[in-house]
Amino acid sequence: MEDKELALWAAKGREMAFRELLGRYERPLFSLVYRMVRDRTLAEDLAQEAFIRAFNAISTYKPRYKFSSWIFKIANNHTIDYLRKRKLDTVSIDGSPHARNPEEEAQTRLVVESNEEAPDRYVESKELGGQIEEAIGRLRPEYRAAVLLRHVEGYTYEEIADIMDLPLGTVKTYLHRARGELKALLAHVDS
Amino acid sequence: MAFEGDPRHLTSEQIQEFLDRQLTREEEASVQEHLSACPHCQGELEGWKLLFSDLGSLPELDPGRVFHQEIMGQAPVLAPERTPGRRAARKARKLAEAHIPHGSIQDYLENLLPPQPAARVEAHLASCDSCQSRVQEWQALLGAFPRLGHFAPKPGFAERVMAQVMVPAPVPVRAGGLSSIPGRALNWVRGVLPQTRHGWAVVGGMASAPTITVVTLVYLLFSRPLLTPGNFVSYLLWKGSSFLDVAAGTVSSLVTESGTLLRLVTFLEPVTQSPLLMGLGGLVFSLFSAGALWVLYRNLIATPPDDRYARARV
Repeated sequence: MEDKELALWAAKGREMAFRELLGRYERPLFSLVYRMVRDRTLAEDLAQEAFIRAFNAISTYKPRYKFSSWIFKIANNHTIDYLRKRKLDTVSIDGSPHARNPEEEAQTRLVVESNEEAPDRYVESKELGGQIEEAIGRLRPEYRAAVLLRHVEGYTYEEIADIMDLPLGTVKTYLHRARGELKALLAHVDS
Repeated sequence: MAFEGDPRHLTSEQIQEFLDRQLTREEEASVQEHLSACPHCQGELEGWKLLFSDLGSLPELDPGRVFHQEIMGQAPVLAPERTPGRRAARKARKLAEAHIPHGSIQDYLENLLPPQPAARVEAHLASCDSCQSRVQEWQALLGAFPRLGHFAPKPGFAERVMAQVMVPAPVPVRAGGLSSIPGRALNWVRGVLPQTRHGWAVVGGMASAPTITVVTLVYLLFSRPLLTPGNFVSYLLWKGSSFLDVAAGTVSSLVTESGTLLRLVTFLEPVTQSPLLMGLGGLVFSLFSAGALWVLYRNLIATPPDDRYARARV
């Protein structure tokens, strides 16, 4: 059964339809949020909130749109909102928000050392420890979202523009710049 | 070696060429061999040597300024070549450095370039090693993305979500049969009715335009004091019946004159006299009309306008 039909059934109060949709989008949505915030516990909370928001507003979903785009839009907005709020509220351990390039960000990053690694951190370091994962993690949140939606989820530029509420040209620019930064970061790692 | 004039001696041309070092090695060796054995030619050679020596010691003469000016006045002197300006130099530099921009390389690798720019990129790549290596770098980056998989949240994630979802009360579905027909019809009507303001505007426009026209015409007609609805209906019936008489006469004359039409009418006569067949024909025509209207509705009204799903941000 297609996502749209499931969403219609869910809007009519069928719990199994909700569960099926959850099963289909649990991993993709969680992965996007996890790569955006790079914190497993936080990602689970944000993904959970995104699902709850979407499911409680399932009656507003219009079947003429792709369900996956709709739910990714909700999750992406929620995550970006959180990241912006956190940037305003707190000092980021990821480096200065005013850093002009990845090197400056790395220089201003707070180093938290601990002899004993928390279990979640251990899992994260294994999951997100690859070179490309590290490089993606150093991109701006908007660039990160664009790259993940394009290259992990396989959305078209038009769909990304819909999901991120951006003009098509801006999405292109984001992707070009994000990939340019990734290339530079990975070249630095290789050398 | 062939000698002009006296075949036993060297010619003057040969001696001059010998002194000017214009002979090939073989010719020079042959001339030297001859000179060593020929006193006559040795004498000739000495004479030419003196002349060459005198010519070489001639002083340089100054032709004077007038000569120079006369020559230069008639010379087809070209305009001096301009040194390229900054803009031209920048353009030339750009042309020389016209490598494929990074954005175009990315679009090319993602198959997003239109055919013509893609062909230009391919043509450039065929001759530019620098761009080829850049393309390989980009390919390496894009090739790394598919290795990024999905992560799974901790077990119990679905339960935690579902615990907070307010599942709406299920809509009761009646058992099949005649009792569900009104509900289905109602649902169908709901589905057919426009769901957006744009749709209602189109329907409103389509419905109101002919209505306004008809109302205006009726008003114009009956605003005349001598014209009453009864008079007008009688007039229409009279004109209508006379029109039908004329039309029937024309058709019957056409039918009697055309063999094909006559055969067709003869074939259709039993159909027109059978109420059942007429009814079926009417039903088919109605279904066809309804289908056409539905197609029009789907294309004119039900097509979603290009508004993004603004309500998605919940």
